[in-house]
Amino acid sequence: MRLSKNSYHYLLMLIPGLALLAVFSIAPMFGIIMAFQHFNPGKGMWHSPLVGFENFSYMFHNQASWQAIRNTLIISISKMVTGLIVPVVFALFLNEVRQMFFKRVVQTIVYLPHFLSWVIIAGIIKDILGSNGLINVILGHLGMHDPILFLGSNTWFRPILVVTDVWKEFGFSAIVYLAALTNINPSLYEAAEIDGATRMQKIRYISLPGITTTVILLATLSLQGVLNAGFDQVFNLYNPVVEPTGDIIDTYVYRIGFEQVNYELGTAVGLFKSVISLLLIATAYKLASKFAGYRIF
Amino acid sequence: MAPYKETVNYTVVRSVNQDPKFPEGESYEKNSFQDYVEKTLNVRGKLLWTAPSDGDQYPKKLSLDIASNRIPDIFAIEGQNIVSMLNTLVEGDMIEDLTPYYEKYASQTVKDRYAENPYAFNTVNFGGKMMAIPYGMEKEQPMLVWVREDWRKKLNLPEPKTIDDIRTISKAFATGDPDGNGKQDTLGLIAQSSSMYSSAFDLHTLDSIYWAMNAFPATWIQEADGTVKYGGIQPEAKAALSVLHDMYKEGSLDKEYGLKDGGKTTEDVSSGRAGMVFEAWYAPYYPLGNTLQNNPNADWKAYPLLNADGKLNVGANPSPAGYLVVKKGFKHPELLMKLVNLSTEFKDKTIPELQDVYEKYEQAGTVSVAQHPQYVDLAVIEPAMIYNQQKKYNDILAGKADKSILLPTETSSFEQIEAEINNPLENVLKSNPTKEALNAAIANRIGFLAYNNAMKTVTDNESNIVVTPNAFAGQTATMVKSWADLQSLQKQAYLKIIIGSQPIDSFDSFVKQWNEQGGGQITQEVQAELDKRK
Amino acid sequence: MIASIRKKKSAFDYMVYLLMLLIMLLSIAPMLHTLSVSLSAQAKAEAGLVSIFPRDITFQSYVSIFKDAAFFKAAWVSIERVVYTTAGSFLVTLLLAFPLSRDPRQFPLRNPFMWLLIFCMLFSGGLVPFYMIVNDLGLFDKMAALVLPGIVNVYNTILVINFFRSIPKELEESAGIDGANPWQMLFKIFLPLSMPVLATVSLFTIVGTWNEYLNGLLFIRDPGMMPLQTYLQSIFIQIDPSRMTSQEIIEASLVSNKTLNSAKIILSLVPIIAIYPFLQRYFIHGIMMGSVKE
Repeated sequence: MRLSKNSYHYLLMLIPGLALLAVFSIAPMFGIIMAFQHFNPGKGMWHSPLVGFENFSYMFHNQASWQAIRNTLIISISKMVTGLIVPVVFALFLNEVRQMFFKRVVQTIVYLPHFLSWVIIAGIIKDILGSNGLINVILGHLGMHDPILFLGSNTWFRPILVVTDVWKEFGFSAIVYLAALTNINPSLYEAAEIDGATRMQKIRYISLPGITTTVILLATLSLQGVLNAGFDQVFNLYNPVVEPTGDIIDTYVYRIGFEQVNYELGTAVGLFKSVISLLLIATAYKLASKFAGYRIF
Repeated sequence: MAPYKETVNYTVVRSVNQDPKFPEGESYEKNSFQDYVEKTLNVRGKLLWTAPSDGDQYPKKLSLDIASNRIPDIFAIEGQNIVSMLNTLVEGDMIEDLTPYYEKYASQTVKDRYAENPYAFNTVNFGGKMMAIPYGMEKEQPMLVWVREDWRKKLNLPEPKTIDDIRTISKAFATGDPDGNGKQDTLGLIAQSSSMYSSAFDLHTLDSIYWAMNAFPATWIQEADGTVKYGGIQPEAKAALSVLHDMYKEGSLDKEYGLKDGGKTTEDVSSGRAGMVFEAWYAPYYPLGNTLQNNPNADWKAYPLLNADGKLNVGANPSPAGYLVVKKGFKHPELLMKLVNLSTEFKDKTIPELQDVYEKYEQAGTVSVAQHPQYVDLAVIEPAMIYNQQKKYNDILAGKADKSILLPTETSSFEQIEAEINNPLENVLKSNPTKEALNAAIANRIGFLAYNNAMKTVTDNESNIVVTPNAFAGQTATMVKSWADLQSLQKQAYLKIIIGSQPIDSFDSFVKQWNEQGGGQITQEVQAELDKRK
Repeated sequence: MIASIRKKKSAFDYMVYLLMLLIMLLSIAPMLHTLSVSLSAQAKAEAGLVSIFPRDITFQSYVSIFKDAAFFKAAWVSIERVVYTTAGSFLVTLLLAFPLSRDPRQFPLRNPFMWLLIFCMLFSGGLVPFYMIVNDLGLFDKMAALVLPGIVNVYNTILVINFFRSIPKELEESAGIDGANPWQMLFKIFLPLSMPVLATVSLFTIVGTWNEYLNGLLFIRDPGMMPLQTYLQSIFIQIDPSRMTSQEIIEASLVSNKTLNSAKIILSLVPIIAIYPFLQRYFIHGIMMGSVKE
C-alpha cells in the first residue's frame, strides 16, 4: 500500500485515541460472548456452557415481548423524528434573535431541563395530568365533565412520552445546530439582504442549507437509538394500565431481570440493539453515498 | 468461644450508611467492636470495599464481583435480587455448605431465635443443605385498615368491622365532603398498583381485602397434606376480585386505581386528601405523620379486618432481608457462625467489657443501623421484638408492671405514649402552642398511634392471627423463563377485572392461560422442590 | 451580522421574541419547582403542595448534604476529574478527528478506522468485562479510573470530524503551499477555526463527566477520592420506625428523599451554570470568529 508521507503523521495522531479505545472499548467486547451462554460465574466466561441463541429468544417468545418491540419502535421513531425537527427549528429561530443577552438567557434556560432527572419530571407530569391537575382543571372550565385520565390512557400515553422527552432534550440538542449556524459565512446573508430576501427566506435558503450536513449527520447517528425508547422516562411514568402501549423492550427486560440478576439477557438484548443500529447506520451511509454521492461521515 | 490458634484472615465487604454519626475515633474501617472481635477470636478482617445501603448501589457492585468471580471470604447478600443472587452462587458452586457449622457453632440464643420462626431456613435450603444464613426476619405483621378518624366521626359512621363497613365509609369519604370545604376533593380508600398484592409487606396494597376473603394472590399455599397451589388462581381470588370490582364501580375504591404508585398514594395521604389506606403498624411514621404535620386536626386510627371466621389473616411470612454466605474454599466457614454469635451479643448488650463503648455510641447519637459496625454485622434479633415491646407497654399502662422492665431502647417510644395520654394533641392545639411545642406534640401523637393504637391492635389480636406462609420463595427452572410473564399476566387480568374493562368471568380464562403458559409446569416443579425438603 | 447596520424591529422579530419567551417559561417552571421542593419541608413536599414557590422554607435538605467536609472534598475531586478529562478529551479528540476528516485519497486507511470507531460506539461488552479490566489494570482507587475511560467519546469525535470537513479547501491548500505539515495544519489552522464545535463537545464532556456517578461507585473506595455525584448518591434518608425518638421524628418531618434529591440536583447544577457562559459565547454569537476573508 502506498501511503503518502502525510499518512504516517495521521497514523501517529490516531494512536492515543486508538490506544484508549483498545483498552476501554474493544478489550471489554469479549464480554459479548455472555449473550450466547448460560453464564455461570463459577466457571467464568471461558467455560460457561454455550446456549446458542436461547437468550435472544426471550425477546421474541411471546405476545408480550413482541408488544414490547412494537411499542419500542413506535415510540423511538416518533422521538427520533420529533427530536430532530424541534431542535432544528428552535435553533433556526433563536439564531434570528438579535439581542445577545436575551439570546443567551433563552438558550441557557431551555437547556436546563436536560439536567432534571426523570424521577422529578415524572412527578411533575403526574401532577399536571392527574385527575385534579392543571390540564383537567382547565378542561373542566371549558365544559368537560369527566376528567381525562391521561396517564392511564392507551391513546395518550405514547404522545405524552414523545412530547415530554422532546421538551426535556431539545435545548441541549439545539446546541450542536447553533454551533453549526455560526459557521455560515455572513456574506451570504448580506448578499441576500441586498437581493431583498425576507427573514423567512433567509432562514430557508441560507441557514437551513448551511446546517444540512449537520442535520443529516445527527439524524444518522440517532439511528443507534432506534431500539431505545427511554427506559428512565417510561419506568417513571409507567403504570400497569398502559402496559399495552407503554411497555418497551427495556422495561420488559427489566421485569424479567427483576427477579434475577441476569447478565446474559442484558448482554443479548444489547447485542441485538447494536446489530440493528449498525445495519441501519450502514444502510443510511450506503444510500447517501450511492444516490447523493455524499459521505455522511 | 476460644480464639484460633493461628490468626485467621478474612475479607469482607459491606453496605454502609453515609451519615452514621459515630462517636469520635470510630469508623466503619476501625472501630471498637471489630477490635473486640479480632482480639477475642484471634482473627483479622479486611474490608475490601463499602457501598451505600440505599437503592441498588451495594447489590449492583456486589453482583459485579459475583459475575467476575472475585467475591470476598464472607459477605452479605442484600437488595431486591437476593434470591437470584443466592441461586447464582449455589449454581456456580461458589459458596460453602453451612449445614454442619450451624448446628455445631451457633450459640443457644441464636438457635432459639431462629427456632421461633418456622420458615426461617426455607429459602436457604437447597436440596437439604443450608447454603446461607438468613437474617432480618421479624414476626409477621398484619395489614391494618387506617381510617381518618376525624372524618369518620364527623360523618357519624360506625367503626369498620367488615368489608361492607369499609365500603360504606370509603364511599362516604369520597362523596360526603368530610373536610367540609364544599369541594369534591376527598378520596376514600386508595391503593397503589405498582405492587398490587404482595407476599412481603408493601404499603398501600389491597391485601387487607384479599386476605379477609381468604385470598392470597401472591402466595404459594401448601395444604396440610403437602400439596401446593398458587393463591393467585384460586376461586377465593376470584371472589375477592368481584368485590373489588363492585367497589370500584360504586366509588368506594379510588377511581384512579391502577395509575398510582406508592409515591402518589403517599402524596394523597400526606396532603390529607385520602381517608383510608392499608398499611402495617408503622404507618404513622411514614406517611400518616405527614397528614398531621400538614393538618394537626387530622386523626388516624387503625382497625383490624377479620375474615368471616373472625381470624386476622396474614398472607405474608417473614422473609429474609438478606443472606450471609461464605466463599467456597475459605478454610474456616465456622467463623461466620462465631461472628454471628458475637454480633448478637453486641446487639443484646450482654458483654460487660463493652459497656462504656455502648455508652459512647448512645451519647453520640449513632443511628440505629450503625450501632455496631464490626465488619460482619449480623445480629439475630428476637423476631417478636416489637410484639414484646408493645406487650410491655400494655402491661405498664394497665398497671400490671412498672417502667423498669423497659430496655433502654424501648423507653423513648413509651415516653411519647405517656406524653400523648397526659396531654393529647387536641389539648395542645387549643392552647395556642409554639412551633416547637406543636412539633413535639405531633411527634408524641405519632408514637402513640404507632404503638398504642396500631401495635396494640396487633397484640390484642395476636391469638387470632393466622399466617398463610409463602411455601416457596425460590426459583425453579421454568420460573426463570416464564415467571415474569406470568406475573404480568396476573396483574393485567386482575386490573382489568377491577376497573371493569373485562368481566369477572375472564378470571377463568386467565387461570387457563396461566396454567398453559408455564404456570402448570411451575406448580409441579415447586411441588417437587418442597417434597425434596422433607 | 455587522453591528453597524441598525435594523428596525419587524413583526417577525416580535413573533420570535414571543415564541422564545413562551418556550423559556415552559422550561424554567420545572426548575423553579425543583428548587422550591429542595427548600421546602418534606411534609409539604410529599403532599404535593409545593408548586413554584417553597412551602415551610427550610434549608435542612442542604444542611444534610453539607454536613461535613466530605462534600467539599468530593466536589474538589470532581473538579479535578473534569479538568483532566476535558483537557485530555480535547486533545485526543482533535488528534482522532483530524486524520479521519481527511479524504480517503489523502489517507487511505481513513475508512476502515472510521468504521472501527462506529463499531466501538455501537457495541459494548457490558459492565462485567469493563469492571474486570479496570480492576486488572490496577486502577482501583486511582484518578485514572475516573478519567481515562471518559476521554474518548466517539459521538463527539464524529461531530468534530464533520466540522473539520466543512472547513473550506482553500484554507488547507494555501497552508499546504506554505509547507505546513499535518501537525501544523491541525493546531495552527483547524483548531482556531473550530472553536464552536470544540466548545460544544467540551461542554458535553464537562456535563457528562460531572454527572457521572457509576465509575466512582465501582472503582473508588477511599473517601478522599470519591467524586461528587457518587458521594451525593450515598446520602439518603433511612428510617427505622421501631425506634424513632421525638427528635428523629421532628427531623424526619423536614427532609425526605424527595427534598434531598431535589437539593442534590440544584447543587450539581450550580457549577455548570457558573462556567456555562464562558463556553456559550463560542456557539452563540453574531460575529464569526477567525474569519477567512479574501
